[in-house]
Amino acid sequence: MSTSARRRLLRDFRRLQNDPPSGITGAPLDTNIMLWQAVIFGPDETAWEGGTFKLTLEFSEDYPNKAPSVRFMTKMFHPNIYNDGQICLDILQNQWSPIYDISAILTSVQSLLCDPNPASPANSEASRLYSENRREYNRRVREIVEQSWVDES
Amino acid sequence: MSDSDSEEIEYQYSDDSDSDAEETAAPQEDSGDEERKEESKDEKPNPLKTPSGKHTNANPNAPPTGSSRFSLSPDYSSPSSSTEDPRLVPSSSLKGEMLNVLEEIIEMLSIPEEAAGALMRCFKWNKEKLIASYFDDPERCLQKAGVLKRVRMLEDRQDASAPTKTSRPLTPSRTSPRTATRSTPLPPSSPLPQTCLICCDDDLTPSEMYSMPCSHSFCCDCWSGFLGNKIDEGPSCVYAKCPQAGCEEIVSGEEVKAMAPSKISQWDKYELRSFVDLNKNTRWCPGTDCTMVAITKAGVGNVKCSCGTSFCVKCGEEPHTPVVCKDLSLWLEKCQNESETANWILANTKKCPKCATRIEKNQGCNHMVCQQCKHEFCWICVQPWEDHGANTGGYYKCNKFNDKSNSDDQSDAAKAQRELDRYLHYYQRYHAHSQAQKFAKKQLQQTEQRMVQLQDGSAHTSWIDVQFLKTATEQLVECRRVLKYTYTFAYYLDPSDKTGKKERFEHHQEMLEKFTENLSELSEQSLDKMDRTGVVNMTRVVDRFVKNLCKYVEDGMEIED
Repeated sequence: MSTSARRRLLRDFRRLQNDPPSGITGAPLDTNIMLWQAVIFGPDETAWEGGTFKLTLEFSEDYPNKAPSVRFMTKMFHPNIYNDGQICLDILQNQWSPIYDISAILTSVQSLLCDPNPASPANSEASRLYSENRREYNRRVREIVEQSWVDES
Repeated sequence: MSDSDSEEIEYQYSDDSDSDAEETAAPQEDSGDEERKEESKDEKPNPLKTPSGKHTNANPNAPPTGSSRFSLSPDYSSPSSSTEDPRLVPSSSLKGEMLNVLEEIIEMLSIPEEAAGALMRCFKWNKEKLIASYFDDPERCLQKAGVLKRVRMLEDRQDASAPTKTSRPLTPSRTSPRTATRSTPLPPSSPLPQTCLICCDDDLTPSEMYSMPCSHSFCCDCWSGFLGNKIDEGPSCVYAKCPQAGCEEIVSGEEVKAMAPSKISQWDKYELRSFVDLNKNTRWCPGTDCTMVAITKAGVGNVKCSCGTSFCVKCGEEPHTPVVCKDLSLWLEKCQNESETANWILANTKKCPKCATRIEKNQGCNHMVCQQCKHEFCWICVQPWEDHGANTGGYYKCNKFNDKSNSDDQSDAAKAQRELDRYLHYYQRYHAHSQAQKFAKKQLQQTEQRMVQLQDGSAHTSWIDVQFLKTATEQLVECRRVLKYTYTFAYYLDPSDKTGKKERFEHHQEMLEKFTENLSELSEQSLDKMDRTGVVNMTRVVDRFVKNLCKYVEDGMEIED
């Protein structure tokens, strides 16, 4: 079992390097291929523009039959992201399919930034502002973007 | 029957430790009632219980009663016939039961067995609902259950005429997984290397690939890992879908057999478990470690399992006529919550109204005689016993709740107090009969011995002649059970009802209570005073009465003509 997960992760790594989706980088730790760090850049022409958001991905030996656990390390303000960085995203839970790879996961998380689902709120304040006061929501997002540069250092 | 044997040993053991505790803790009592007390001991160690201990009927050294005990058990130990409803089946014959149900669906909709199973699961084994939905919109119905491709593929195969041979085998091979490829049809002459989207291997031969009817192929190793993983996740594996993202086609035993044969027994187990759990017409016997399953036609009814557990097939609780399952669950939840209050403790012990000695009732009859002062009173209403019974003109007036408090007081506190009083009224009576039911069950265990003694007592009495005692005690258990639930039932009757339904019900309840007390007293008589005819007659009367009462409630409590 263990070899198949590792072999697949190596393929994922190669694919991510050879054909990187725009605004996404990621690599396993030098010491542990089961633990990855990734950065998602805020999509241009959105409130998220310019943000650099760090994530960790933790894989089990059952990968790709089981989804990895994905978490933002940067502080976020988003309807579907919990305060501790956990992400409420269907493909990471019940809609997971073993054909998804790291590049697919990160692309989905990136598109979630600008396309939240207020119906399943993980952050009620962000969810409320997103539906009721988009101006204030965008202001709070830009705050987070600026904070992400500070976190970087 | 090993169950009842071990139970007996355990019971006798606790019995012994019981009497030790009693001799030190409880006051001395008259020897006259000892025999009666002995016959129905409490289940738990009980410091408040009245003492005994000289004539121990339940002696561990008594001759073994194992063989005759067998006859105390219900008749369901024999294989149930198919006409019985509800009937009990061992879990080993569940597969057959499931296939019987599927057979009809397979025939009616001409679909493969695997598709029928998934369809039925999707509709919680409600055949009528499935059929209605199917004929309303077959495409949508099959899609919803995740078997659209599986069904259509079979149809395609049947449509395909013989001359044009497809690369797929006509019947999926179940024995040789590696060759059972029904993947994307490729010309056999040019075996292009294929890619598995799970492991990303890109030099696989078609024979190393496998797909479900939806044609999404993956390599056999990945299939095996995927299915093994799903099955290891537990019972929800029966809802696993094709590994392809967004594909709704559901996995079946066919794929498991082909790609993860070592897991098929586990899969079958989960499939059967799902069959019983989802199906409204089936229920696992709630008895400890019992694996029998009750099957009904209509989803209602009571059943007695060979392990000795009786239960309602609909809700799994002890049979509870006349209360409906919904009210019973409300009631049990309420009792659970209320039990934390001090009132609950009060409901378990009572003071003698004359000398105020704390008494816990430890046998079935409500006619109490205080061992301290010899005062006779009714356990339920704590009024003198003389006020009860027909001879003094006063009936057994213990079952009606009279709202004595000042109902003009509309404050929330007063309302809450009244509601609590109302609940406690019913709870105390429910609890009293519940305890009495336990005592009667205990009494039933000792009845065998009493029957032997009764038979030995007179030269020309046969075993048949003493059967009446067992029948009477069984009837007593049944009466206590029904009486217990009549109070739950009455609690949920509309208190403001003006049609007189409540009064009529309480009248019947009162009568049943009276008969039951009579029977209880008659059957607990010491053997030399045993009135056989009286017991036999009372058993018959009470049996009829219980049945009529339940029927009356079932019929909606309309006035009889």
